[in-house]
Amino acid sequence: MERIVQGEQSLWRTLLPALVIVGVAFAMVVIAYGMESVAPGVHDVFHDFRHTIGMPCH
Amino acid sequence: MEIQSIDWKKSITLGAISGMIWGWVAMAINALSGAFQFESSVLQNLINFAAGGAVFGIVVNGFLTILQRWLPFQNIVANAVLLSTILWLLIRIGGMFLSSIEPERYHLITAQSIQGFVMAIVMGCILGILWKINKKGV
Repeated sequence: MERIVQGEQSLWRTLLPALVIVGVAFAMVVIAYGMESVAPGVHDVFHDFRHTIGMPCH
Repeated sequence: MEIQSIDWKKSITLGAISGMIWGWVAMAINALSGAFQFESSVLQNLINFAAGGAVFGIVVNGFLTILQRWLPFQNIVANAVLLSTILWLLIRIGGMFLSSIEPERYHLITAQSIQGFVMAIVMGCILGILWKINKKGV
């Protein structure tokens, strides 16, 4: 039982940070391309930022 | 480095801090270069650039933390620069692809692209220097 609990904790210790990085990477793509369909308002909020770092924009 | 032995809290914090600094440096460089005329107020941009920079910083530092033993250079700054430029190029190539599909929605401006590439190098430098400072502090 103890081993199962340890295994589960170890899995979460690996999985959770990986999920955080994947989630933030997705947010990065949404910001970089101003994907309004995913996050309404993201285009206007990060408009100057996107132009400044050389991403395509209108 | 075992993935379970990584201090993720520290890694995410370091990425966010370096990204926020990078965002503000990007603002300053753009103000000097004039590659793009800001449309929002300075206060708004200070917040937006910090938030956007933090997101980019967390991703670059996440990859740097995981991949550091496979990266080619001994110097952490060189590895951070390599990663941040590769990441920027990947997103930029995706942008070119989007631009070819929807040219009226996504168009690319050369001066801003050059500035963006330079900013990717700056991001790597900031992150690498913070890594060094952090290692000394431990």
